[in-house]
Amino acid sequence: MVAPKSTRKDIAVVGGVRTPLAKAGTALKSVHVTELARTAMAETLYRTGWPAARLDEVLLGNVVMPADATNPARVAAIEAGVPLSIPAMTVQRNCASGMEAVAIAASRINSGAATAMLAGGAESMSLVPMMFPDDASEPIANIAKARGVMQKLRAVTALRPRHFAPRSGLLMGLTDPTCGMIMGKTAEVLAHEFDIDRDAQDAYAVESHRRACRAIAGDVFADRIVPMYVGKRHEPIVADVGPRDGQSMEALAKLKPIFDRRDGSVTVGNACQVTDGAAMMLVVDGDVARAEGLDVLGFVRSYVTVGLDPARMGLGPVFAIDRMLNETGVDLHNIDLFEINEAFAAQVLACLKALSSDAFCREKLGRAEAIGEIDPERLNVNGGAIALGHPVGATGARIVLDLLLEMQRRDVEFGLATLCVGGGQGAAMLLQRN
Amino acid sequence: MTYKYLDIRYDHGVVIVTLDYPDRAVNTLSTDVLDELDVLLVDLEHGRDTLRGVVFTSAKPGVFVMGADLFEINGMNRLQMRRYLQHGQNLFNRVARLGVPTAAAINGTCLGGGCELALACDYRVAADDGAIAIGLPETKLGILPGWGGSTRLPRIIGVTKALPMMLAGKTLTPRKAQKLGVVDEVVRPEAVVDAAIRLVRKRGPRHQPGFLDRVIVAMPMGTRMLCDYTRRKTMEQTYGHYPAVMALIDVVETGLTDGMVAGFRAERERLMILVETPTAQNLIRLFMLRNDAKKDARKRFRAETHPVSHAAVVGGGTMGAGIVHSLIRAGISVRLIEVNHEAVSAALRRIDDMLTDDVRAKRIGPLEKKHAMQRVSPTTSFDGLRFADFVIEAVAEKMSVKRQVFARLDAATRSDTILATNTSSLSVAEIAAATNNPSRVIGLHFFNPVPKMPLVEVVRHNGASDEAMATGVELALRVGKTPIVVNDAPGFLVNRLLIPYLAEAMVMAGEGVCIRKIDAAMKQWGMPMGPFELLDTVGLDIVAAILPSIGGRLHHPMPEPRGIEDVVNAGMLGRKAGRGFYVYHSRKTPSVNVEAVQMLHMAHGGPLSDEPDASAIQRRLVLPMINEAARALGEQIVQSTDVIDLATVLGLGLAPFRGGLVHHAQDVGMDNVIEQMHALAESHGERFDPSPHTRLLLVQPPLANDQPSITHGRVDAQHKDSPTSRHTPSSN
Repeated sequence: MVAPKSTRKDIAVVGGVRTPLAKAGTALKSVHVTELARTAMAETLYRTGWPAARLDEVLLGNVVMPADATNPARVAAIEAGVPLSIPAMTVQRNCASGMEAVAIAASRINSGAATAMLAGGAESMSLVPMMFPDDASEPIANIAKARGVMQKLRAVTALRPRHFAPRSGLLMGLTDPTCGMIMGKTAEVLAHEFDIDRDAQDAYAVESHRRACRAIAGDVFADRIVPMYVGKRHEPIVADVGPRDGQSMEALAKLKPIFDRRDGSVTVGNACQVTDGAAMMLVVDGDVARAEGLDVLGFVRSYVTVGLDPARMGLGPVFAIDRMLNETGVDLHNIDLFEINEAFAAQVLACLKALSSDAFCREKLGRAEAIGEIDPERLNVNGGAIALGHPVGATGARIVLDLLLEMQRRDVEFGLATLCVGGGQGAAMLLQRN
Repeated sequence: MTYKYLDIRYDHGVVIVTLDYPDRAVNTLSTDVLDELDVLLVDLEHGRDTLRGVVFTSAKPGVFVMGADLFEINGMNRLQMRRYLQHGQNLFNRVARLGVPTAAAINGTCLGGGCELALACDYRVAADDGAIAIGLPETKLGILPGWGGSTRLPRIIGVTKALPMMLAGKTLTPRKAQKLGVVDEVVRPEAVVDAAIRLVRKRGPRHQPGFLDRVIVAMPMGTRMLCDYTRRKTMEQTYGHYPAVMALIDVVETGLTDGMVAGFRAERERLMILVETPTAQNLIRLFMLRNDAKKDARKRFRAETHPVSHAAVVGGGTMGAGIVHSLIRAGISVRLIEVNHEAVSAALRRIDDMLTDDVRAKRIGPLEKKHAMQRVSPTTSFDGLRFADFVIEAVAEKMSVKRQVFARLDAATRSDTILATNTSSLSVAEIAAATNNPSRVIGLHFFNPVPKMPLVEVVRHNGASDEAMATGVELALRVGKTPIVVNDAPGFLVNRLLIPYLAEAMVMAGEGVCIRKIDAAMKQWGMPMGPFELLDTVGLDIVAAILPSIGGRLHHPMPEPRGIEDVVNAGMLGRKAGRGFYVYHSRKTPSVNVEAVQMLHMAHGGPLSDEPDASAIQRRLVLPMINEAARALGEQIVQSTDVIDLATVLGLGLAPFRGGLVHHAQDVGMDNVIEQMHALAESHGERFDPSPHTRLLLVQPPLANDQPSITHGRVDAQHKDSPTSRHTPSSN
C-alpha cells in the first residue's frame, strides 16, 4: 500500500513507560498524580538516555487537575529533574488528554518548532476530591470576612446542613453538563440504539479480562511498567491491579445495572474501571532520532479529532476513524492492530456495528457504504480499560504506548488508536513502525 | 573613615555593620578585624544619642563569622593570649553596653567568636536554612568560649540548656537554636537584615532563661548542685581526658554565682591554661589536619575532574543506602540498582529513615526530604546508566560478585564514567581487572554508618588514572566527607589497623580475659566503644569474612582468633541478631553472652590464669595498631603520619585528645614503644615483633604542599604575617 498522507516530518516515538494501573482506592490510592507522572517521566528519560536538558517541552494529559498542583505537568517535570528552563503544559481534552499531549508534541516537531518532547498523561482518580455545594462557598467566605463576635456568630448561623452535603467530584466530572447525562447513560443509549444486549456486553468484558490476564501471564507488560514504591514502607507495586483471572459470565450476571437499575444493561462489570496511573513517552524529530541512532518504537503519522452529539459520545471512534481514513487515504484493512478505548463494552460494540453498517455510514458519515469490519482478533489484543482500567488523563497515552509496543512485538506495520471522549468528541492516531 | 573588613550603611538611624573579610570566602575575627571593630565602636559610642540601633551581619554567602583565627591563637605566648582575650572581651562588653539596641542578623554559619559577638547583642535573628550552624564548639578543640560566651549564654538561655550545649560543643541549625533561645527569630533568608532592623526599632524584651533556670540560679546552692551533678556525669563520660569541659563547668558556675566580671576573668584565666594543654594542642592540630586533608587530597592529582550531576549506586544495603543518602543530600540524582523489587523497597526504606533523621534534627525540612527522595530512581536491571558520571558499587563483599558487577557496569556505562567500589577488604586492582578499562576504576571506601562517619578512603590501584582519583576526591568532598588518598593494599589503612586490634582482642578473650574488662580498658584509654561492642556493631559474620581476606593477604604474623566461626554459625551475629559477644535486651544494658565467650575459650584450649590490668590490656591492643601503622607507612599505603593520625581519629574513632595513633606513639616515646613490643613478643609471640618500619613513625615527611606545614600544633612563623593566605581555619 502507498504511504499515508501524513505529517511532513517523521515523528518518532523513541521509548516510554507506564506505571502500573491500579483500580482507584487500591494500591496507588495515596500516590499524588504528580508523583505518578514524575515517576514515568524520570524513568522514560533514564531508559531512553535522552538528556532532560535537550527537551523542548513537557506535555502531560490530566483531566481532574489537582487543587494543590494546578499545572501538574510543571510540578512533575521539575520533580523529575527536568531543568527549570524547560517549560511544561498540562493538556485537557477529557479522555483523549494523553493522546492530545502526544499529538501536540508531534505537531510542534512537525512544524520545526521543537526537536524533542516528553508527552503522556496521568490521573489519580482516587484523589478526586469531595466538594462542598456551590451555594456553601458564600456563607463560608462570610465567616472569614466577619469582624467582631456578633458578625461572626451571625455568619456561622447562616450555614445550613445542606451546605455540608458532600458532592462527589468524580460523579460530577463524569456527568456531561450539556446533556445532563452521566457517561454510563450515554452507553445505555447506544446499547439500545444498536441493540446490544447484556450478554454481548458481558461476553466482551470477559474477553477483555482474559486477554489482559494472558498478557500479564506472558510477561508482555513487565518491561514497560515502571514499578511504584508506595507509602511510608515503600511497598513495591509492579503489576496492574484490575484484570481478574477467571472473570466469568456467571459472576458478571450477578451485577445490577447501575445507571438504570431497572431496565439498563450497563454494569460496573462491563464498563471501564476507575483507575490511577500514568504513561509517558519521548517524542523526537525522526531525522534526529535516526542521526543519533536511537531505537525508534514507531512513528506518529496522523492525528484527528471530531465532535459529535454528547449523548452519543461513545461513537467518537467511528467519526474519528472516518475522518482519519479520508485524510490519510489509508484503508481500514491496511491497519494491523487497533486500540479502541473500552469506556463501555456497549460503546465498543456499538462502534464496531456502526463501522460495518452501510446504513449508519451512509446516513451519518455521507459514505457510499460501510467503512468495514474490524477483526476482533486485531482489536485490543491485550485487553482494554474494562480489565486494565481507565485513568482518564493517562489512557490516551497509555493506548498509544501499548499499541506501539505490541506492533513491535508482532512486527506489524500500522496501528490505530482511538477513543471516545466525554462531552461528545472522538480522537484517533495513526502509527507506523517504519 | 573607610574600613577594610567592615562595610557601614545607615537605614533611618540604624547602623548596619556588614563584616566582609576581603579575598576570603569566610569571615573570621582576626586581630585586624577586632581592631577595626574597636574603631567602629568609638564612633558608635559617640553617636549613641542619635542612633536607633546597630545591626551586625555578614557579606559572605552562608557564613556569618566562623570564629576566631586559630592560626593566630596557635602562635601566641601567654602574655599575648591574655591581651588577646582581654581585647575581645572588652570589645564585646562595649557592644553589650552600647546603650543602643543591637542585633545580629545571622545570615550564615555563626561559630565560636562569631557566636559570642551575636550573644553580646540584644537580639539575634537567623536565616531559615538548615545548612547554617550556630554554636560554641570550642570544647571540641579542647578550649572554651573566652570572649564572654561562657558567661553570657547561661544568662540568656538558662544554665540547664547552656551547659549541655557548650559541653558537647554541639552546633545547632537555626530552628534548633530558636527552640533553645539562642536566637530570637528565624526568618526567610532574604529578610534576615530587615528582621534585625525591626527588632532593634521595636526594643522589645530580651530573651530570658525559663522559669526552672531562674529558680535554680536564685536558689542558694542551686547552681552549685547543678554544676556538681554535671561534673560527676561528665567525668563518667570523659574519664577526665578532656580538661576543657571541667574548666567550662567551673567558669559557668563562677559567672552565675560571682557575677559577670568574675565570669569573664575566669574565662580568660582558664582558657590561657587550656590552650597549652596537650589535649587542646592535639585537638587543634587534628582540626587543621582535617582542613589540610581536603586541600591536600585535591592537590595530589593535577587532572581535570568530571563534574558529577548524576550518579548510580549498585546495591542498597546499609552501606549502599547510606551512600545514596549522602549523594541525594548533595543534590546529585542517583540511579539505584538492586536485585529485585523487595530489595529496592528495603533500600528506599533505609534512605527514607536517614532522611527522616535529617528532618527530625531539622537539618532539612519535609519538602527538601521529598525532593531528596525524588532524586532516587530505582531499577532492578543495569539500565538507565547513560547519565551516570560516577558509579559506586556497594554489593556483597565477595570478589566474584563484585567482578560480575564491574563487568556489567563496564558495558552499561559511558566510557568516561568513573567506576568506584566501596569494598573494605578486597583488592581494587582485581575488581578493576574485570573491566576493559581499569584506569577508570577506583576504590571509594565509606564507613558505617555513612551519615555519621566523616572519613572516606579514596583508593588508588596501580592502573587508576589521575582523573578518576581526582573525581573521586572531589565527590567525597562534595558529599561533605574528608577524603584521604590510600594505595590499594589489604584493608587499605583504617581496616588494616583495625583488624589486628579486633583479632587480638578476641585472642585475649579466648585466653580468658573478661570481655567487659577489655571493653572498659579501651574506653578508658579513649576509644568510643570497646572492641567487643564494636565487633557486635559491625556484625560478627562480616568480621569473620574480612579477617581472612585482609589478614590472609598480609605477609607477617597476625593474631589468630579461634572460635569466631562457631559463634557465627550459632547465629550470634552481633547487635543485628540481638546476640553477639553481648546479649542485647530491649531496655537493660547488654549483658555478656557467656555462650559466645565460651566458644572462644574452647577453641583456644581453655582460659589462662594471668589477669592483665587495664594498662596491660591497652598495651596489648594498641601496640599492634602502631606496628601496623608503621608497616602501612613503610609500604607507602599512605603518604604521611599526619594522614594516619587523621584517619585513626575520623575512621576508628580513636580518642581525639590523643592526637591520633602516631602522635600517641610519639608521646609514649618510640623507644618505649619498641621495648614494649619486644616484651610482648617474648610473652605472646612473634606477631608483636616491631616491624622494621617502626622508626618511620618518627619521621615527618614533608607534605607535598606549598602551604605552611603544621607540626604538633605549631604553625610556621611565616604564616602569621600573611592574613590573606588561603588558609582560613577557624574554630568550628
